[in-house]
Amino acid sequence: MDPTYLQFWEKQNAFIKNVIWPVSIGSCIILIGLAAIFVYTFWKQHYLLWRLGKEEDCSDRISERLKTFVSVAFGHARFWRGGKEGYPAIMHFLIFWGTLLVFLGKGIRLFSLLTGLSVPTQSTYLLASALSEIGGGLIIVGAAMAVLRRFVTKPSRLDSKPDDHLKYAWVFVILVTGYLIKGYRLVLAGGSLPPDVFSWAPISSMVSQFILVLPSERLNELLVWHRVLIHAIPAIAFFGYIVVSRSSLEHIYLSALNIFYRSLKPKGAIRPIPNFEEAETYGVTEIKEFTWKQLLDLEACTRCGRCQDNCPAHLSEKPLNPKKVIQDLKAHLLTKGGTLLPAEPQPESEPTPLLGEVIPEDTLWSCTACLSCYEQCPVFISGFDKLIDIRRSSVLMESRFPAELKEVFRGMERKSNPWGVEKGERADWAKTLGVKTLAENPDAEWLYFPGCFKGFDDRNKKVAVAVVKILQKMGISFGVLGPEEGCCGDPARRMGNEYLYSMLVGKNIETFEKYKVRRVLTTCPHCYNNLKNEYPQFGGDFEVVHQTEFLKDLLDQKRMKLHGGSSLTVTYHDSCYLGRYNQIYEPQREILRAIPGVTLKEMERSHDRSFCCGGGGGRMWMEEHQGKRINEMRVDQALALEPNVIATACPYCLTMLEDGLKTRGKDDSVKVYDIAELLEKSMV
Amino acid sequence: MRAIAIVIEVLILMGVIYCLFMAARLTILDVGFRTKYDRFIRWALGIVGAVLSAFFVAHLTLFYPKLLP
Amino acid sequence: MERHYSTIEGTSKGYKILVAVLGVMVGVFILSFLVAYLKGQQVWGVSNIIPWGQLITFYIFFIGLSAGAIIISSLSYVFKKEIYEPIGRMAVFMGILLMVGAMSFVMVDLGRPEKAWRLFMYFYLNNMTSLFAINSIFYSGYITLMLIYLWLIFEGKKRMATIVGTVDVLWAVAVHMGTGAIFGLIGNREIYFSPIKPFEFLTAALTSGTSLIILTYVATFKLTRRPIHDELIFSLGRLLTGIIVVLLTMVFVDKLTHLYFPNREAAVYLMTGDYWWIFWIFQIGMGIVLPLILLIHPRTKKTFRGVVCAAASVVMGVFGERAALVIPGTAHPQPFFPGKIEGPWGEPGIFPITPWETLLSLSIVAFVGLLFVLGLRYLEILPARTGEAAPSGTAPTAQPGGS
Repeated sequence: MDPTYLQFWEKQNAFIKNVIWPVSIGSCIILIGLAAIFVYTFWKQHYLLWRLGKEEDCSDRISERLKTFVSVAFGHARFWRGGKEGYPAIMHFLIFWGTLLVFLGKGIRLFSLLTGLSVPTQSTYLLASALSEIGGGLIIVGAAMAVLRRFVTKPSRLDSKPDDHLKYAWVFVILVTGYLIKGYRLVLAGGSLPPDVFSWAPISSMVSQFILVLPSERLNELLVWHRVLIHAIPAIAFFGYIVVSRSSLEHIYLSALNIFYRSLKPKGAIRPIPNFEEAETYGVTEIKEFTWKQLLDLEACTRCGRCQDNCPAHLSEKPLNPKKVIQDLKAHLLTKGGTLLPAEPQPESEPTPLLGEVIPEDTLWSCTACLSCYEQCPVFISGFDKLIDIRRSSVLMESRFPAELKEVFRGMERKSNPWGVEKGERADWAKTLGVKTLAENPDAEWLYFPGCFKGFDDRNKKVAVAVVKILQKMGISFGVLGPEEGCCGDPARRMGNEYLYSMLVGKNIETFEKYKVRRVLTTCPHCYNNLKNEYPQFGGDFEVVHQTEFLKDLLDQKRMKLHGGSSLTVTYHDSCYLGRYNQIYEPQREILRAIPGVTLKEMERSHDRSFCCGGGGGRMWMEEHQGKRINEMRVDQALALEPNVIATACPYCLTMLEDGLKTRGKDDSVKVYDIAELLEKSMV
Repeated sequence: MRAIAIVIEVLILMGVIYCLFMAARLTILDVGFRTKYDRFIRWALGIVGAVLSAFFVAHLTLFYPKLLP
Repeated sequence: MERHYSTIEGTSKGYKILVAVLGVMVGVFILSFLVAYLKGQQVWGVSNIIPWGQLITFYIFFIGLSAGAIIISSLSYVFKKEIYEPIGRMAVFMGILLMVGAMSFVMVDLGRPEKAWRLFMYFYLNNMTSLFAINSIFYSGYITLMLIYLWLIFEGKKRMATIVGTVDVLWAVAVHMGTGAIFGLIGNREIYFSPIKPFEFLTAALTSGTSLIILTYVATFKLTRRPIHDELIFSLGRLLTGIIVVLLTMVFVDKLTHLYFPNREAAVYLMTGDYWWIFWIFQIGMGIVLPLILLIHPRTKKTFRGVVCAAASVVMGVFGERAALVIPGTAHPQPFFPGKIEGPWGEPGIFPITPWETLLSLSIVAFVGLLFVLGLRYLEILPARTGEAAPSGTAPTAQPGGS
């Protein structure tokens, strides 16, 4: 240490010893007390609530959970989605890492006080000081961005409660008073300031230029006491506040828990009803019938509104708002016993039904099960699974569902397809193509499972024909089930009719086993998702491939020769069940790029941000009575690019987009084609 | 200079009081006291806050340092 | 019987004017405080000789009123007398506010109120043999208990309210006897020094508290057009009579003892010196004689006006009793070495009534009044008027003593 600045450092150490050290010890003791209180409040305000819920095992594959935890919680991996999401991502990143740096700096200095590393002042100590100051600066920048966004720009997805402006004011006050402590210590130390002061106290050294002092040293030490207490009291109170109250800052640990305990099952796989045969209740009627993890979901929500901003139902002005669903369920959960004071005991005989009392019916049935809410949520909250659970209860326990679905259920039950068309007509499209059934060709390597749309919808039959032609040209060994094929059950499950679903699945698995099916090729992403991710719940175990993956594979093997056609501007619409559910985004794009003459343009909402066509969740068979039509909104997004073709890989999307083009009067100039159709057309 | 510094310091202190009192009020409501008490809590804390702010003005006017180092 | 309580509407012109006036007085409070803080206590009537003035007088007066109010509230919640139900909540609420007022008085009197934190550094920075230090424990506990008590009452938890109310009443007794002990234990102030002081204080608290309850009941219920039960007034009046008699006994015994040799100068000074009128006119006259006459005389004891006048007289009289203790008590020179060395050269002190001190005192009273008036507006303190529906979201609270 340069002796020129000895007086300075001696005085610093005197302040540390006389003022900061006792306050730090006192603060640590209080923090230990707060930690004990935290254990109690966590147990009372959160754990007991979660325990109301049913069992769910979320502790498997710990190392994978830890990896995601680090990348999502610390790396903010789910924030970085580009576009307008960049601003809130940067803002939160600065606040988060700024806070970590502040605590790291303080922790090092506390440790060095305890172990004497600060006397004389070591470079580690100075580094720690710099870390804290820089961290504080980062927080101020990030928080200023947040304040600007919340209170000036005011995006519609944010709602503000008193707690929301309190936390910014509080953090600002804590940081400013913290800088003032250092500023005063610098000024009152006497002697010369070391020339490197800016490197370890960049902000405080600037603040110190403006500080007024008292005439005597003894009184000036009082000033330091003032500064330290004016900082320490709100800082400790801040922790106390997080520990005791239900502030939004609880997300620090609740969201972290939710990230860690997120479901590792396939995204699109809905949980089966356990012990279906013996179960007395189906789905969720009252709040405690959710699992504990679903209840944790409710508490982990930070009201960021990303789900709301990406929900097709909400954006088309339907009653459903996924953020509101979670918040309403949470408010209901808290009134059931979320406070520290003993609540009035509820009479056992009167549970509050969620449907109607908490979630209105039209909200429930507006969901298209597109998984956008889950995909966009930075902390893995799903509103969709809760709605499906409530739908189950509504359909199976009360027979309460939109009138349009009655025929759909009947059709699936009796004729194994949603339209109630005779089963025998399912494979009519294949008759002229010489396609054999598995009964005729039991040694076929692949089962081609076209699904109900390809079987019964005239437009979609053409897609099946295109696929079959490609398979035949490529010499692939395949067969179909023909009239023995049953509906995969996806609409039934998403509409909450789990009983019907289990029936359909059971039949299909039986048929698959009869023919010893091991490899399945599907064209419909709904069938794909079901057969791949949900049939295993019922014992179905086979390899399932979607046509896009299959065809891309064939392309890669250079087994196809494609010729150029007229030049086409194509935009690709990502199907929810292929994209968000199963992360299949690229094979179809590569197929399109491989077709000569095709110029591929991306819509703003593509890949994981793709906008649902509006057909999922059973909504294909329900009328849209409120708001705008989702499919028309999607068509408008596509038309903005002035394409010749809208390409898709899903029969639901194909149907909905064609309908949309018709109502927009653009069906002559813009066509909707399946990927298979485009590929088949360009094959030599 | 001293007057400006006093104003800034009083604002910081009022900020501290505001945060502590607002937190007290929100915590009182969160632990289970019903919202019917909210109005009264706001009045009570507001009045105490005003009295404290008056005290800060008095205290700093009298005791705030006068010298630059 | 289930009784509903409600807030007052607070929409009348009179109410708004009242709140505005009291609000202005709170501004005066802040101004007076600022003046005293910046200029020093020289702007008050206090001095090195008479260190305790109006503020301390009001402080002990208000503590007494508070303790009295809480004890009256126990008639309803602890002793379960149905007749006192209409005033139960009001009494507890007043207990809290009067204590807040008392603390405001004493904090402001400190001159440097920010140093009050030292009071709570038990054994470390404070002198635990001082009654003030012990009282800080009593007062904090008392305020906390009252808040819990009132909350339990609001929530209809009648069993817990009874338990906490019982503790609170006993604590109130300790609080006010403790305040009395502040004076009673001071050996070198002859007028103070007496083992009977805590009991005298408690009794005066009961008389003044009961009287204030009567006055507040009448004023509040009349102005909010609620029925006033004469039986309640007369019952409190009878209670008041008994307590005044006890007080008279205590004052008599205390003064008689002090009038005996060897140390009688201070008692003589109190009764015949500069401040004789505070003792005779206020403490004895208005605090004891006049109310007793009104409460015993057949022509007045059964009249509403008689009881209310008696109550008003007691309130002023007990204020005089406190003043008679504080001012002459400290004005009389201390006998350091009787005959040889006396406090300020043997001359009694003079306590001027100064404008800033008076404004400060009155404005703190107004502050308490404002809190009361706002509380009526935002809390369900008063019984609902007949025909008034219970506010939504509140269940009628079962009253103690009810079926």
